[in-house]
Amino acid sequence: MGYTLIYSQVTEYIPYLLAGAWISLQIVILAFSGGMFFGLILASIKTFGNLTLRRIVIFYVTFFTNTPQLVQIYFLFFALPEIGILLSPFVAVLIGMTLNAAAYMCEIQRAGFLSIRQNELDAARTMSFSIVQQVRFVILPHIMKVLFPPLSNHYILMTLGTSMAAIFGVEELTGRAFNINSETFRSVEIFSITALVYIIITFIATLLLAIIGKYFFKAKIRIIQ
Amino acid sequence: MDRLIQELPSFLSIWNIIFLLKAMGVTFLLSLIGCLVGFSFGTLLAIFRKTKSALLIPLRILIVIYTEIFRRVPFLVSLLLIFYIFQIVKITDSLFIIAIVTVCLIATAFISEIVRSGLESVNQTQWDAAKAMNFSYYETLKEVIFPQAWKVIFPPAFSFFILFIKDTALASQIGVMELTFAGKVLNNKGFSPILVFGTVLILYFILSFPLDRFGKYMERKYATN
Amino acid sequence: MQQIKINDINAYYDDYHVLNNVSLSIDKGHIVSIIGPSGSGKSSLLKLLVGLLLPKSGTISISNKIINYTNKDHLNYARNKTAIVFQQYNLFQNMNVLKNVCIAPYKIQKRKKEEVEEQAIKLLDKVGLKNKLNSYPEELSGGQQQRLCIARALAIRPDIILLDEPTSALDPIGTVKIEDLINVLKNDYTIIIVTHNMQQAARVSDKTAFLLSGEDRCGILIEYDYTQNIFSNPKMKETEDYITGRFS
Repeated sequence: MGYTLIYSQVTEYIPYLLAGAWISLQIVILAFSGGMFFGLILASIKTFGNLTLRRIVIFYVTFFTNTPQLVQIYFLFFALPEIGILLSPFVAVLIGMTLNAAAYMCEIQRAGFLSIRQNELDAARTMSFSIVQQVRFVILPHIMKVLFPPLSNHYILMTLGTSMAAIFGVEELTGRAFNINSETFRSVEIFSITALVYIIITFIATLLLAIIGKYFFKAKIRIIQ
Repeated sequence: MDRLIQELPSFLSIWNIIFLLKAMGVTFLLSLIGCLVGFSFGTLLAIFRKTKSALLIPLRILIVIYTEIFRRVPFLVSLLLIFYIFQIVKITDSLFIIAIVTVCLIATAFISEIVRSGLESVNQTQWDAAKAMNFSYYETLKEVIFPQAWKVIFPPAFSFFILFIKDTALASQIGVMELTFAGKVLNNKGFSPILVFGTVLILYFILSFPLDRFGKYMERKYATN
Repeated sequence: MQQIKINDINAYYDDYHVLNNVSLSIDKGHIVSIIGPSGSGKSSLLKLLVGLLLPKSGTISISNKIINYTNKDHLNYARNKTAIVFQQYNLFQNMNVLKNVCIAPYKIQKRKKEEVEEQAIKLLDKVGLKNKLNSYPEELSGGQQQRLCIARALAIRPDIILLDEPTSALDPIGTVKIEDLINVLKNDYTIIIVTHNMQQAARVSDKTAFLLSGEDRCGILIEYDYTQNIFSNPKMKETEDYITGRFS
């Protein structure tokens, strides 16, 4: 084995690397929010809309959940210029992740809609709750509790998914690891540190989500085991 | 649009079609082997993780660390890390083998969680009854717990298999000749990216969608049993 | 002959002191009821005997042999001598009626398959489930499931049978069937029944033990005597309060 691990050679790059994590965070928060918003619209159409609209949504969701996010972004990045739409790498990744997220969130949120229990609504109606009060006191709390675990889980998956952006040159965490790698060639050191950063980031995220879930939504998430 | 129609015949040449089909095969193989190995080792990990003896604490800690690492690091970063480690250790030059190893390591981590959930879904009372009749830990698992846990394990495990097919797209980044890489090759050859990546998306869809339907059909069948 | 001797047992669930210096001895061939309010440690006493709960201090002897529940041979001995029927049945959901009864004798006690099956069919006939050999637990009524549990317990050829609230989830007819069964079994086995049904204890058992949660929330044995003494002439005030339904 003619290679020795020299971590000291890469320590000077660590601040640069960590700054990339901030860009990853931006990507995931934007894509997640966008995905939730569009997902909600899609879920509403799929639950309440007319047949044609429902079919369109079903087609959209089926397509985006049965194809890889990477290839979806490849398509946006390479194919759109053909018809004159030029996207920067960051925007292409963002749009790709948002469209992908919307499809999955549509399904997650639809499950939330379907979990509303009619008998609770009936009880509220007989106690003269107005529609707004029914939504506020019966429907929303219940839906939030049901939706929180799968949405949190998807958030973590999306955080890991941002690493794809590196392939398109975006200087988020993995992208910066690529850069440092091409400068120092200390590949194992760099990528092991990057892996560690991802582990720490997702742990912090899971912890925060667990706390938020417990106190605001009374939804429980496991951290480990 | 006219470019697309112009290119179509040369794009759909026999060579290209065979090339793409072979690449589809590689994608499918990566996911299949990964999941089969993942299921075998994942089950082993789940069994050992649920042991209670104090002697095995180091083993249980190792298993937890392993599972958390490979579930919290993006596929791309794991792949590159293992790629570079292989370069140092020089066991093999084959990109396919490196990809298979990565895929197996990741699948094992995820599936061991699925199996563990399945085992935990079986009521504690079944363990108590077996224990009171002097069943050993392994006898209980074999005769009582696993037959009941299987119903809870199979749907998410199969679902993971389908999801994993999409994850293998990232293996393209180290040059494994799977479907996404085939797309990149054809794109570099000069074919229209709309055509190329559109076709790749459709091929992934053809791979994933029937399996997804089959999975849902099996789920309904198991549920009514 | 004293078949079971429980000596000064203290047991805990984590920090919760569930049994406090409980001493009890049970003679061979007797039926003993353990009564008391919920949370007084009655079920925990049974769990101690089969090794599902370990005592912090005190000893348990079965047939004059002191059992160290952390020793594998002792544990095997205890679990072969005693059989327990749980409150929630705990039938193996993935096995049919016949297999539920056969599995432990065949796989754990390593007896011959033909002998085990023959015994199983006889036992199932005895409890009235002869026609249900191929049914699964979820297809049986509550009473049938309970009787299946008893057959399963008898199949391992114990000396002592432990019943945890055997009829609390059953209708009156089911309850009668179980009590009839217990009366049939009393000739061949030592039986301990945990029940919150005092009439049942009065009907069925030779001796009764009364467990209570004290002010500091521990399972304390208040009184243990022949059933007729407990119910007509209780020595302790707490016993009298419980039996007459008087609680401060």
